[in-house]
Amino acid sequence: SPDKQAAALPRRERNRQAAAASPENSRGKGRRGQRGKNRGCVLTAIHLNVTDLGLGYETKEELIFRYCSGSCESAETMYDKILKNLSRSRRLTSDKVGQACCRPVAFDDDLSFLDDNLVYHILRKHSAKRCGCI
Amino acid sequence: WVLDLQEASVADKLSFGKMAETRGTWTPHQGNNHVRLPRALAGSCRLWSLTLPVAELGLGYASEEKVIFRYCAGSCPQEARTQHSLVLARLRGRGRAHGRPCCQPTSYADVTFLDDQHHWQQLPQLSAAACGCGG
Repeated sequence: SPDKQAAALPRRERNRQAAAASPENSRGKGRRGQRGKNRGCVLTAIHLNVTDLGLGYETKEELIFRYCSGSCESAETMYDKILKNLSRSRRLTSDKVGQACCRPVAFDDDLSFLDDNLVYHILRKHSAKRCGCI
Repeated sequence: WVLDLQEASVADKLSFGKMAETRGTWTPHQGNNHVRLPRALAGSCRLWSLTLPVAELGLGYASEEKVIFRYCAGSCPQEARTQHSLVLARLRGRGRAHGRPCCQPTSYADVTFLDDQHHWQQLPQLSAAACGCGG
């Protein structure tokens, strides 16, 4: 239930999640973050309805969805160094050249919920727990 | 062994095999120094190949050899490998999460060449061997 889930979070966390739940605020937050210092690869959390996941479940349950975003410029394999050198010297002109990816390296525990037809469902590896540049 | 110094063909660009070392005669590469991805092929995340003088790797080695450097480039269409990446793609599509899928190597290969002092240099995991779209 929404009340039960909200109660489980500390007040500060609850307020942050409430702000993050709004699409407008989410976009604004992203822009604010990018305006300042270059954000590293970080875990970001948003508060969603299960229906927002777009997986086809009919339920009023909610959850915290965590994902990874940010840049990986400080992560340097030999491969990344060379790509950077080649881009600098304009040997490579495509900006779609892949570098280290900010992505989950661990996932939250499974999430169980009850849908509107009183059927239980389990979500696995649905939400990130830790992020890395790999 | 002499590194294969032929310019990569389109077929080679589409291959995901490891870098081959074959006997061959060394010839200097004369051609366009800029590499522009062919428009028709620039679409999806895949392995590309580039023949380079060792000096252009920017790693400080003195050598007149050339090596084949493979890298990953291209777009990442929605790829649902986990529920997480499926959900994330949908949320990004609706502007509720930022970031984007990331084209990157999923495995690497070593590169070997002879330097000006006639020493063999082996650079581990220097070149991409396969590509994928990470979430």
